[in-house]
Amino acid sequence: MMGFALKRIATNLVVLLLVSILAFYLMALVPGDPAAALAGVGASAAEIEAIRDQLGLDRPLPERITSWLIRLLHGDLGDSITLGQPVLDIIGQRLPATLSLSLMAMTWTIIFGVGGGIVAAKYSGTWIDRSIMTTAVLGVSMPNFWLGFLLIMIFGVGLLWFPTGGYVTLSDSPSQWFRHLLLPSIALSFLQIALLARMTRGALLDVLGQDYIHMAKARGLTKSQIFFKYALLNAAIPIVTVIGNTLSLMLSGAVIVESVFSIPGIGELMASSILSRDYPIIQGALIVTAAMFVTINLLMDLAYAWLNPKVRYE
Amino acid sequence: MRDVANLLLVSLVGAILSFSLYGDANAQTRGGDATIALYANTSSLDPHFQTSHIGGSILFGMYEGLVTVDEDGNVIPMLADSWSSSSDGLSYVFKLRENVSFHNGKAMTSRDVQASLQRYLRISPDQTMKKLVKGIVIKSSTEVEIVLHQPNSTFLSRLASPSSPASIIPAEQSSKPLNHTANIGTGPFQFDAWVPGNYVRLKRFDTYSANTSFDGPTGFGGRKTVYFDSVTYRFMPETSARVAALEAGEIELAEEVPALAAARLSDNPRIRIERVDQFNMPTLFLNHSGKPTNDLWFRRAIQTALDMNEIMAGATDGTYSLDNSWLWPVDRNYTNVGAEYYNAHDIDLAKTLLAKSDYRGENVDLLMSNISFHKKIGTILIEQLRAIGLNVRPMTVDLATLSSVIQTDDGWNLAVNGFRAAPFLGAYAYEPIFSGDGNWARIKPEDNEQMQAQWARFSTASDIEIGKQAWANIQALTHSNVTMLKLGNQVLLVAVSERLKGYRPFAGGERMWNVWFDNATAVRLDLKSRRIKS
Repeated sequence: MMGFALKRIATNLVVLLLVSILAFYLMALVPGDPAAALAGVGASAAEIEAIRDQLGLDRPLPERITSWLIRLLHGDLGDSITLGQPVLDIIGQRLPATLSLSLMAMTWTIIFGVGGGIVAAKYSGTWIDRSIMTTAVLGVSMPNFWLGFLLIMIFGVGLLWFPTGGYVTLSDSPSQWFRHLLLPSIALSFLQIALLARMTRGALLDVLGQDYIHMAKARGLTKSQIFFKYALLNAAIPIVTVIGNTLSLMLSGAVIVESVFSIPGIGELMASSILSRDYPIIQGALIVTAAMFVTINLLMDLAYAWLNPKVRYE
Repeated sequence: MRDVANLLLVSLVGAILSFSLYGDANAQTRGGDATIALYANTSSLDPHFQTSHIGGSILFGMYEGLVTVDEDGNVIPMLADSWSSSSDGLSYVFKLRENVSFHNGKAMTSRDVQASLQRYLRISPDQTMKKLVKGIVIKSSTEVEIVLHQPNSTFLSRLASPSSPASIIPAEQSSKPLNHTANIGTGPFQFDAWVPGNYVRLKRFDTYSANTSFDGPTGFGGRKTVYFDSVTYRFMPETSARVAALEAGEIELAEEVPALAAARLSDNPRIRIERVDQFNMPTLFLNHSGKPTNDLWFRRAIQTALDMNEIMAGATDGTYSLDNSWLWPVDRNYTNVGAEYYNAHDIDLAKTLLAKSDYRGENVDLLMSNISFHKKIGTILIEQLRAIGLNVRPMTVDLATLSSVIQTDDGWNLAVNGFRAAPFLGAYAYEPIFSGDGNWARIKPEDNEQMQAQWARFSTASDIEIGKQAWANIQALTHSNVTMLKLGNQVLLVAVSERLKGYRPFAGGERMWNVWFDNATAVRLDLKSRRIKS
């Protein structure tokens, strides 16, 4: 298991390095530069050139990427062009909001997605199953930004139960942190809950039709023993895959929900940095996001290996 | 009898309460924490490097310059008590106001002014000022002289420009590089907190030295009084989020509200809608350096084809006005010269003009940003230009890409953009746009000699009338040569809580001095007291 884990970690580090180089070159290929964005409408070419010179953007690309990679190896992501602060500090300020939002949404997804799927499978063909699956279809069809606005209008503007947007850190006020994140986390998770519920139900029903389940019944095991010990465990691999993908999707999907709810997260940071061509932030945020994706994939790989020992020897 | 007595007592208490709540509804009340929603983020709080409307809304609470602009964009003294210029126009001596202190408690002296202006010339993207100023000399502890290389009638306007502010900061901060200064100024607000992407909070500077030579505030200057304990500027780029937060009572002001949302909000007794008529001039840029837009007949065909009413109505949902001037009517140089070329909407004539050009059906690349307003304009433009037979090829990019591409000769023929700062600042702000090496029409200097000659006249004009005439000639040239095509005037709608009193919208940015909460209104309207303290 240790050898398997080390091999996967080494592969993922190479992936991260490639992502970082690719991200740098891709940004350099995109037209537009931070100097023009900073100078604003009406600035002359000379003014823009002066800003470019101030920001060091006139240096050749290979020179910029080499110095960036050397700094990266020392754990330094550079300074933001527009904010003038270390990129690591800026990302550190934004990351908790995105992680809070994603993890809260993930919590709802696992509780209601897996839970709903299990209930639907257990009561397959009944009105309970049909109700859960109808809600799931509704969830799959509803874009998260639209649901976000709907929640704001009902619970923020109409009932005044929750704030319409913004973010309070967990350390400032745990209760306000929860109140500010509840609506956006519901908006972010609704689609994933629906997908996971359908996936869980399907996987469970597949397993429940297998011969070894009939054998277990013949051996006289109780329904609960069969369901939780044999069926659920064997259906776990596809469910873990979906959960891993869901967390990745949430981190990327958070961009839109952060925008709707004015949450200063990493998605909003990346979007605004792309508009202002703040290369160090974009590259830093890409590295951090890629690292999160890679870590999620690594954890999924390890979970597969733990759930199914055959994977370790392939 | 007891019932009558009770009734009288209740009436008396009610009358007292009513009087206390409504009796003096407009009295300025000190205290409270206001929250306003800005429509975009700011990336910098540097006192000498701010070009956006959003940054200005925050910066001008914290920082002040020697001079600033009044309500109509005219230059007025701020930290300067007065100024005088030499007869040859090469020297300006500014006498400083006394007893002005910075937020750190230190008194402002001429050394601070000299050091601040030196940093401003080093950091500011305004190249013209760098070329213009020869030196900054301390005459005494309260007098500073700015020496110019050559006389320039636009010098004071540039020094007062909110677009590239010449803020005065403590001398010890002046050696700091871009975006590294401590946020210390002389303004009525002092810095409290900034969470990038989330909010900036300013608090009242209790020992602020107001400019008593004015009766009240005007523009970014005048006598400023802060009533709020703090003002939080929340960055809320999503329009619906701003509107929802205002309706929920979480914020007191929402900038840039679309016309349709404003119509709905105007039915809400808790909210009023304010208009800023001098907001934005959407403009069609034309690339003069490449085919087919380098052909005057072709450009005239486009100019003649356009129906500005249809474009502006479609893009703004009716909040616009039509005017061919590059300046706002309050500007002393305002003129309608060239109006005969504007909004012709004559398809037959446009086709005739097009036939005289060298255009043979090649692609005409129309660049527009992914901003909804620009896309709406672009969509209508495409239809109008196709109606005269142009093969328009739309290209949608983000604003940073658009800003970059239109500074090159290739990759575009037409581009949808606009001017906010330039018309507010005045005629001089158009010089780099219409003239010079980096002009935004990509006209080669040798093809732009008439325009450059008029700018030379404008910059060295010894009196107002000569300057006005030079500007009129410049505007006429932009129309006859189809340098760019102004589409119309876009109005800014601001939704404001009825609780907010004293607020006046301003094209230069939001001003939160001389604004206060009317608690009586709050009680009458039953506003929720729930506040977000992020």
